[in-house]
Amino acid sequence: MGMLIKQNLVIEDPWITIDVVDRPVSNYPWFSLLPLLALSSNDQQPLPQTWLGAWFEPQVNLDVFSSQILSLPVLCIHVSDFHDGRAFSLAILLKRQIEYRGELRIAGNFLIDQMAILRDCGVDSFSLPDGSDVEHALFILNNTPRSNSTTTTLNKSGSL
Amino acid sequence: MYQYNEQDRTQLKTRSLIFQRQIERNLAGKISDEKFRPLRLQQGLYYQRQSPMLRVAVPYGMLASKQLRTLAKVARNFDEGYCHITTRQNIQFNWVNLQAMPEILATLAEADLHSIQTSGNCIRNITSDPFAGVAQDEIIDPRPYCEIIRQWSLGHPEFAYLPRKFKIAISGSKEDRAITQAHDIGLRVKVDKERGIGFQVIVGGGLGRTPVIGSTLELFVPEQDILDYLTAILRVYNQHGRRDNKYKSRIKILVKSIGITQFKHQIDQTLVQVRVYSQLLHAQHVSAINKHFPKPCYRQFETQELSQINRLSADKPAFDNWLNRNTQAHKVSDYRAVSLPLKNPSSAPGDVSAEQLDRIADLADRYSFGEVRSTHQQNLVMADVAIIDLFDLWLALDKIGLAEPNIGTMHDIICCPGLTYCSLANTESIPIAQSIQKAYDDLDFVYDLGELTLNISGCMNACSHHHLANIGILGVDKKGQQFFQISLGGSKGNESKLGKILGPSVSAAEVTNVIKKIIHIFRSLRLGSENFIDTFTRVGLTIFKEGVYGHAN
Repeated sequence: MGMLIKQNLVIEDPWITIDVVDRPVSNYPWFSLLPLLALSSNDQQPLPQTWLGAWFEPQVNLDVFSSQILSLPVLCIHVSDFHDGRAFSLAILLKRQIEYRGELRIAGNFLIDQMAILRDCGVDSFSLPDGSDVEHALFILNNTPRSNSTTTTLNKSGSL
Repeated sequence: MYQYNEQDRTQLKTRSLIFQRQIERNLAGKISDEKFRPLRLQQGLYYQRQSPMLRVAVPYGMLASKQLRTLAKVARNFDEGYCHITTRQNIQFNWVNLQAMPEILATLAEADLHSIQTSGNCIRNITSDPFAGVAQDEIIDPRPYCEIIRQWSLGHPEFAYLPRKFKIAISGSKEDRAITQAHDIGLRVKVDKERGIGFQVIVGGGLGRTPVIGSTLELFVPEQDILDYLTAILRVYNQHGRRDNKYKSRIKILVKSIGITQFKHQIDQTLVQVRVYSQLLHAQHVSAINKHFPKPCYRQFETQELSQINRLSADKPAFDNWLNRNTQAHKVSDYRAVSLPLKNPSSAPGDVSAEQLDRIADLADRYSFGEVRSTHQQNLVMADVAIIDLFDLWLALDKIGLAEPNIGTMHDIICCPGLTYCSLANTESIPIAQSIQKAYDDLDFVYDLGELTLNISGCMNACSHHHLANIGILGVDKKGQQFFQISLGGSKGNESKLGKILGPSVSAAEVTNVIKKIIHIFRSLRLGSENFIDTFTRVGLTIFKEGVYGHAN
């Protein structure tokens, strides 16, 4: 079981990431994170009454996020290169533009040192490989001031 | 200038603390060099040929005397006694060491200075007109907008890992002195009778390997919409800019590849998204920031006091010459803006020593309301000097070697650090500058040439902006040998132009002779007191080419 940091707490991650879907979606157990494509191609049929989540890469097209996908409890951006800042815009779009209310997670090859800015873009939880420096991760999250670049003066009501 | 509040200072301290840990983790092998790289770059720390280099941000070129003293302290205690002004108005320390970084950052922070976002693939220091607030042709002082955009871009989480670096420049005067057309985004402040203050938005300019003059995206974006507009541009770039090839990853390549019309269409679509969480810039916010840029308490003088200057300049030709060359008219008639050239042939263009910095700080306190500006021409400016103080200031500047009357002449060379320091460079550039300066050591001859810009870059990255120089020199590597490609006819201003390549590159030993030939041709073709760029525009490239290389047949 992998490690998860959520709300500045380190917990064991109950979710299992499925790389390749080889059976009907309804046959996967609870807490399976499936490739988004497998779930979106299933869009015509109601999802099984289980807890499933979807993972996808930063270059995903926003049109894929149907209301059914947005009803999933976990959406996970899988980053393959920590230089790739598209994940940051995607997180903001998912949380603000599309108003996804579930848990937005990040996994893959991101840097622990990027966690605070990912948080400021709307990421709720961080999936870390075993052996990660959790103490440093918490230090980054707890000590980096929240950015107000996307909010100040400048909040939704426009008031100072 | 903008005064930090406690929140600003706390943020700086925290960033330093975090960076200190990141350095320790790197030194302890807990984070690889590859993963540490973007972290140190975003903190302005480069690994150069001989030593790490630290780039300190100078927001839109504004420096307080206290900050000059701090820079002097860093130069003295942690470097080799000097620092370097860059073509983006920043300061570089070329000889720092990694272990000393926490102490250096703490020293800088004492004077509200930092190095954040001076490198890396993020929004860099906002640059502007060094004569902002004092220029006679100013429409609106651009500095409050620079400051608003500085605060907005500093630590902006969405745009911390862009495809490549991102540079923004803002001009607020009739004549563009901020090179807005050669930036990823250039803003020109406009005033419309009905719509009030707004910005012309220019996008996709840049120099480097593929020089491009930016295109106008919008002729007028209202003041209140500017942050939304910037967000839309940055978001489109972040999502669609190329990440597979660093030479094709700047926004200029994206704009060129899809065309300005399609790009504008994408911006308009993205604006709809952005406006869901609009960051409207309200008049009260602008007004709060405006208060950080009050008009200094200018004094008024009697006619008799002012007339002394005429007597002094009549008596002292050297002073008169300096007055004409190194000072310029001010919004307030009893004041002038004074340029301090950092182009001493015995050191690299843009270098300034700790002793000079301390002395400049004292002089700024005494004569220019405690402020100095850095310029993209790698000089310094005291923007608010009373006419009656000019003579004393001239004497004082002369003592520290900063009164050489060469502003705007061929001696005022813009030059990158080149192979002497930079690990990206192909060739040296500083020795070329020195050789040219030496060849033209007769200032009267140089004056006679009129306005002439000469810029030298040691590689394709074009840090000296050589494409925009009347005479541009670019260092290229040819099978391990240093060669130099000359271009002519570049210019800056409201309608920037890229220089045209003269012909095959020449060896280091030949550069100065080629420049001499170019100058000779210019002088023989010049009509009256025509400037180089006007002669070039009139006669074209070919005649220079034939004069330098001989006829093709």
